[in-house]
Parts: sequence; C-alpha cells; structure tokens
Amino acid sequence: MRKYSLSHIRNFSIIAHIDHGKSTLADRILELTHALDKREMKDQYLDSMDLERERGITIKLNSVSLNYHAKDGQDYLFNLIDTPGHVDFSYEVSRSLAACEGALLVVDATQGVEAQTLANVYLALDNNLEIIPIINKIDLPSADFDKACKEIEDTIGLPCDEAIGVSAKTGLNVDLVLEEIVKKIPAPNGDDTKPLQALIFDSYYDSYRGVVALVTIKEGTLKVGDHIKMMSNGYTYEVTELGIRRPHNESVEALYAGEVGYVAASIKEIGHVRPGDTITSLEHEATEALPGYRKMNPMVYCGLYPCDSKKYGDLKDALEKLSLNDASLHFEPETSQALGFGFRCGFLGLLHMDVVQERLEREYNIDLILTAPSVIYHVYLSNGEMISLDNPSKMPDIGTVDRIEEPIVKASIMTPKEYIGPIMTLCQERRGNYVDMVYLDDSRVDIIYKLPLSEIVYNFFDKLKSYSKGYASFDYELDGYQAANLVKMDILLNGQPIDALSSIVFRDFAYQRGLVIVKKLKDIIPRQQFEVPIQAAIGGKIIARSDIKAVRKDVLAKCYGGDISRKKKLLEKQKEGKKRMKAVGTVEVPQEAFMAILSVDDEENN
Amino acid sequence: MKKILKPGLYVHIPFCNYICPYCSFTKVFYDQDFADRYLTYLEKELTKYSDFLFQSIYIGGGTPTSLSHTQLERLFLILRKYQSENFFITIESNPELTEDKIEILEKYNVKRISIGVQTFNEIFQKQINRFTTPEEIGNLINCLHNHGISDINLDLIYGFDNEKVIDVINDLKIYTSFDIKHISTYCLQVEEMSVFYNKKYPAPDQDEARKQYDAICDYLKIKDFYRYEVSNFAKKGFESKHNLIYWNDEEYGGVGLGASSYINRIRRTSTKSLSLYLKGQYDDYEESVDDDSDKFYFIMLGLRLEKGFSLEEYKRRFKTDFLDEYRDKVSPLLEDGNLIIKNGYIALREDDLYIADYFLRKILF
Repeated sequence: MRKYSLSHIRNFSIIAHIDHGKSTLADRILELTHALDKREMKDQYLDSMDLERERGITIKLNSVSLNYHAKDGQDYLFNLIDTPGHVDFSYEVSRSLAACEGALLVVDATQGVEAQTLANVYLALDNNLEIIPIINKIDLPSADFDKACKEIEDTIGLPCDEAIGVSAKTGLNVDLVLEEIVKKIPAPNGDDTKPLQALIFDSYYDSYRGVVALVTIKEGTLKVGDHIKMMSNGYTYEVTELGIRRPHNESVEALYAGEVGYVAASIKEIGHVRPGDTITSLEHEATEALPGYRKMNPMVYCGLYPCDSKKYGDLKDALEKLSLNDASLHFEPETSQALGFGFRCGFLGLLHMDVVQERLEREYNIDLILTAPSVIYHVYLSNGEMISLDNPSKMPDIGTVDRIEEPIVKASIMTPKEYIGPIMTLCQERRGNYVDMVYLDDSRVDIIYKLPLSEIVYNFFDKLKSYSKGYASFDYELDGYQAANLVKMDILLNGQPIDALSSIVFRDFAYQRGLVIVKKLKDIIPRQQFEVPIQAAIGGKIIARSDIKAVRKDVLAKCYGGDISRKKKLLEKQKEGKKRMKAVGTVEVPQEAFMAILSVDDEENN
Repeated sequence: MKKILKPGLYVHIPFCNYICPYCSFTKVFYDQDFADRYLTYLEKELTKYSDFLFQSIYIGGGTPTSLSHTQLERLFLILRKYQSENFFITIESNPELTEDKIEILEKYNVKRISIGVQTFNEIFQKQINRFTTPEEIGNLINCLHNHGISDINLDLIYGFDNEKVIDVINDLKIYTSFDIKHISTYCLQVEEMSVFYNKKYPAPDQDEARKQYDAICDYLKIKDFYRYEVSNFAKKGFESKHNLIYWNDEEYGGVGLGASSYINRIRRTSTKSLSLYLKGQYDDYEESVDDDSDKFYFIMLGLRLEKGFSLEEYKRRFKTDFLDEYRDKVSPLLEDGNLIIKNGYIALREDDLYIADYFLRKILF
C-alpha cells in the first residue's frame, strides 16, 4: 500500500546561481520538515562531497525525500532533487529537472538575475516545470526586492506578483515557500497499475550493494524481488533493496508512481546502469523507454596520466566509477611517448576538469598528470578528408593539411555598464567578434561576442571576473566551426619533442607564446644534473629557447648530531615533492609543467 | 660493575653573551642563576648514562665559554664521571675567550677547541654583530698553544649578501696564516628560528654558493687542508674525531637543551624549552631505528665523506652486500662515474659532493 497518494507528492528542484543561497535554503527546508535533528544538521547538508563543501558549490546532484505536514492538515511527500549551479554542470541540471514537476527559482536580492540562472531556467521551462520565484537574502541592507522581481519579469517573463522574499540564512518566510510548493507545483502524473517506467537520474557505487540507481517512478510500481530490465541494453536483475533517502536511507517494500528513491539489485557491472536509461520490470514490462535527457558533449579534452605508471589500472577503474554518476565524462585510452599509458578525457569545461582531477586524487588516491586542455579542431586534409583532432600531438603533417577549423562560441556576458570597456578589450584580445549589446536596464548590459572556444578555455573566466571586479557573469553556447590560421607548436626538451607539451596556437600569437612558455617551463622545471635546453618550434623551426641550468648545490652544508633526523626527514619531504615528477627521457618534469601553456597570460601581464 | 664504552657524548650549553642573527640552534642569553640551575639539571640528566663511559666529549652551544669561571669548572667535574680512560674533549668557544678560562680548559685536559670566528670581513661582521680582528684571534691562538691546546678549528661562514669569491679568499688567507689544524665552513642558510629569517636576509643562490665553495676547496688544498667531508677541511690526522662519529653512523649520547643522541638504536632529541628542561622534563622527540632506516642513515651520512663508506663495514653491519642490494640504483651511477669504488670504499665523485643530496635521493628512494 502506498503511504502518500499521488496527489500528495511534490517533486521539485532548486535553481540558483552560485552563492545565491540554494544550499542554505535546502538546509532550512530540511530543518522545517524535521528530516534531520539539530545534532545532525551541518551546513549545506546536501553538498555531501568534501570538495563541494570546500568550494561552496554543488557538483553532484543529490535527492532527499521529506514529509511535510501542511497547513491544510495533511501530510505531503516532498522529493527535493538538488541541482548544481555552474555552467559546466548543466548536464546534471537537465537530469534533475527531468525528474521534477516544479522548481524553486532562487535569486539573490542583492545581485539580481545572473546569466547562469537564465540558462537553467530555460532548461526548466523546456521541461514544462512550474517555477516559483523566490527572492533570497532580503535581510541584507543592500537587498532590493522590487528590482530583483522586475529583472525576473524582464529577462524571463515570469510574473513575480507572488514572488516570495525570504532569508534562507535566518529562515524568514521559508515556511511560506513550503506552502507554495503544495499549492503551485503539480502532483506527478502516473498510474501504479501501468507497466513500470523508472527514470534513472543518478547512480553511485556502494561496495556492499553494488551499483545503486537513483530513480523517479514515472509509471507503475516497483517491488523488492521484482525482475528489472535496463531498457537501453537489456540487462536484467532481481531487486534486492528499495528505499527512499530522507536523507538517511530508509528501505521500503515498494516504490510507486510519482515517488523518488533508490534501487539496489546486486549490480556489479558499472556500465549496465546508465543515467537517463529507463528501468522496467519483466513482471509488467513497458514497451517504450522514457525520453532520456539532453545529452551534453564534451567541450574540452585533455590527457590524464598517472604519475606512477603502475597505477594505470587503478585510474581506469576510477574513471569507470566516476563516469557512473557523471555521464558527461568521456574517456578513452591513449599513449604518450612522454607520459606513457593514460586516457584522453572529455569535459564540459575547465571546472568540470578540475573537479574530476580532484576527485580522482582525493577519492581514489591517484596522483595525476594532466596535459593542457584542448578543444576539438576540424582538420581538413588536401585529399578532402576531415579529422576531428582532440589531441594537438596527433596533428597530421602540415604539408597534407588544407585548412584547420576551430570551434566558435557565442558568448553572452552580463555586466554593469561601467565595465563594458575592459570587457570588450578582453574579448578583442581573445580574437572575439562583436555581435551585439543589449541594455537590460539602466545599469546592466548583455554583451554578445563570438569567440574561439580555445580562447576561453584559457583563464578567460578569471580575467573577466578581475576586469569587472567580480560583477560580470558569463554563459556560452557552441556556434559552429570557423577556419583560422592555426599552427601546431612543439616543445622540445633536450632536443626531443615532447608530445604532451604540444599545443595548437593562432599563428600571430605563436612567437610571443613560444617565448613565454619556454621561459615559464624554465622556471617550473627544477635544475637537472646537466644543462637542458627547452625550445619551442613550429614545423621544425625553432622560435624560442631557454636553458634549464645544472644543479650546482644540493646538500646541507652542516650535518652534525642534531641535524641527522632532521636531514632524513628533509630528504623524505623532497622525495614526496618528486612524486609528482615524471621522468621524460632523463629530465624530471613536474606536473605543473604540462599545464604551463594554460597560464601564460599571467606571465604576459608581469 | 664494568661500564660500557660508547664513542661520543654531546653536551649542549645553550647560553650566549650575544645572539648571532644566523643561528638557529637552541640558545638563550646568559644568566648566572639560570646557568647554575641548568648545570644542576644537566647533572641529573647525565645519570641516564651512568652505565656508560664516553671516549669523545663535545661541549657545544650556544657558547659554552659564556659560563663563568666557577661554572666551567663545575661542568668539567660533572663530566669527569663519564670520561673513558683515553677521553678526548672538544669545546666550542667565541673569540672573546680569556686566559683564566683557558687555564681551566688546560686543567681539565681539553684537547681541541673550535672558535666561532665566521669572518674577518668588516661589512659582514657588522651584519652578524661580530667585531673580532685578526690580531685578537692571533693572540688567542698563541695563548691556546701556550696552554697546550694546539688542535684548533676556526669556523667560516660564506655566502653573505653580495659576498664575492675574492672576499672568501681574503678570509681564508687570514685563516691559513694561523697555526690551526681544521677549518669548518658553512654556507649561510637562512633558517627559521633565526633573526636573519625574520629580517628576510637574502640567502645566496646556488650558482654563487657553488663558486665560493669551489674556491674554498681549491684554495685550502694549496694550503694543505684537505676536504674530508662536504664542509670540513683539516690537516692530515686532525679530522674532527667527534664529528666522524656522526658521519660513520656510530653511537653518541646527548645531554642538554635540544641535544640529540643515538644509543641502542634510538635517536632522541631533548626538549628545546628551557623551562621544561629546568623541571627535569628532558625528552621530546624519539625515533627507534630499524634495519631499513639504519641503512638509510648509514648511506646518507657515509656519502658526505670524501672517502665514502666501507663496503666491508656495510656488510658487517647489515649482513648484506651493498652493491647487490642497491644494484638497480647504484650501477648506472657507477657507470656514469658519479659513484666511485676505491680501496673498498664507495664514494661520490669529488665534484659531486656538493650535490650529494641529488644522488642520495636517487639511491635511497
């Protein structure tokens, strides 16, 4: 028997820009519905990864089922499905939205609507969600409730006469939000008696239960002991455990249409459970799968190598486990002469790349070397063939190349008008083409530029923030390919080209870049036993050179009785430092060297 | 009961009349009352070695000779119980040592003295608050000889801010004009806990340090001081016996504030807090040394010596053959000539001694 009738279920998520208070609001909702007692309450409960709490961002979505005793005297089941806030993670957002009927749109009363929020609101509207506008941080002196409402109306067209002003921090008016959820957000459709259709919106690996799928039941009923089938690949399993997260796992005998919960079925093979897939049951089999969700394509690629080549197998396992609940992560094996065996991985953006690296290192304890990120170039050969190039070192011989096209994005930069000048300069420096500028109100503009993607993967966002004192926000979408005068630049150590250090650069920038990279590498690579030349070359022609000096002093001048234990520790510490070094030929190259190409702009400014 | 013979004992006297800005050792300003109490607790601490007799005793600091006449005498009386039959005492001193104290050293059979001259260059002397003249040191050395102390070491610091090779050579000219047996050099290190560190005194870069070091080696060779350890130069037969105990990885006791010891496979360092010490709470850091870390120490220390370590001694201590055990790491270095085997000793090539740690990391990890 189901505990909540369909009409008493509300599935919703929260959409907000970073720092606009989504996680804090979620905390208050958890508190008000008594999901956690005070003892368990820690800030930003749903951000369960250490990394999320440290950076103050939500990366992985997370769901929680709550009981809400409403003012009408009845109990409702709230399924809150959390969403990440960063542009790199819109894939995750689309997944959580597909599991909901409504969304809370949280806007900071002191900041107004941000570009990123807009992108997610459009996703929500795409999914036909009911959106409840909430203006947060109204307790702050600089809060402007009316202005925030007007912005929502102007930019999204969402009426705000019933917008709720809250303070997630103090808890003010959060109770009103809960009532609005009951009133405004539609109950899920669905029929317990229909064939089972359960949408997998996330999954994770548990060493006791195997792969656990998080699902929302769209149609039908799922019971313990049922034989389930993954509709995309036909694998079948017997359900061993069902449950809901409140937020502690609480096992149940059955999940009914409209409910959100988890399914364990002793699934050992990670690849069998794909977020976006539909689960049905052999007992009551559906003929059609639910529509998945918008598939996100990687925008940025880089090579990922274990510092210790013996860890290749561990890295493979770790990537497989990560991709289990990060379907946007792409990877395939590749070999580098310099770095050995590793993977070429595709990411949604640089933050995504950063997060994956940190998770691999922290959760799986693998020290990594990343090569500088690259976009996908379309290389047209003279014979008419086209190659999609995601690794600069694979660039065909220049004699056979007719032209190279690079991905272009259409970028929308929202900023207070006083920063228009510096931002346009930045876009111009990054080979941008001005498209349009729209005044959103008296003080804010939306600047539209077309920019090569490769120019924004390099610290564009950081620059934008510093040029606008943190006020500008930024969103982009892919806008096709365009031919450009691009060349491959090789870096040679000791006269040997190092494949992992190759990059593709705009020809006019090549000379300057070469100089800066070579100098930067000289500073990063420690002195070696012998002098080592570093050279930058284009098609065999050396354009820049610098030398790593030989080590001249590497010893403690004094080492008497009291220094001995200390000296051993010192050597061990130095050894730890070496762990992130990769021996390339006879040269020991630290991890940062492979990213050096990224940060050349910092250098240019000095 | 028959007592057990141990090679060395280090005795730390933390008091100083002035604090040198480069010094990171455990030290405090001299205070008569503190010094009296300190000696009382030092005597108590020494009882942990009541089963031992030591062959070499090294009194270091701080400035041991900052103790008063009476206190110095008391110190030697305390140590007497722990001296072996053919004991050998070394003491560190500042350049301001007076004849009445030298008489005590003579009386208690101190054989060797190490004087913290550091430099005669007036610019650098000003930076470290020292103002000794060559004349004063000459007189002190004569006086020591007159009292039968001829085994004399002078400390030299190089690598001061803006110091040039010519400055180092000028110092060494004066050093070698004296009748001394040993010169310890020390490339200025700006270490935490030192005044220089707080003042952000610039440490020398490695190219400049190496230039000066190479000049020191070349110059002292002409003057018959041969290098036997990375930073130590001596006339034949006058190597520091006590310091060789450390580099040969032999046992030594240690008493006093912040002193280290290595006895029965335990490395210990005493507390660096004078107030804890004066409550009799001596111990601070302790590491028990198993076979693997003993090997680590043996190799790490042995390769600081110009002649390296004895392969025979390695086999005797560890019951394995060094060349077999470290074949993977050592063979390429032997092939390239960075390591050399001579007369049963394995050593770093002369030119590589100043980058010994670079090779140690290759061998030890």
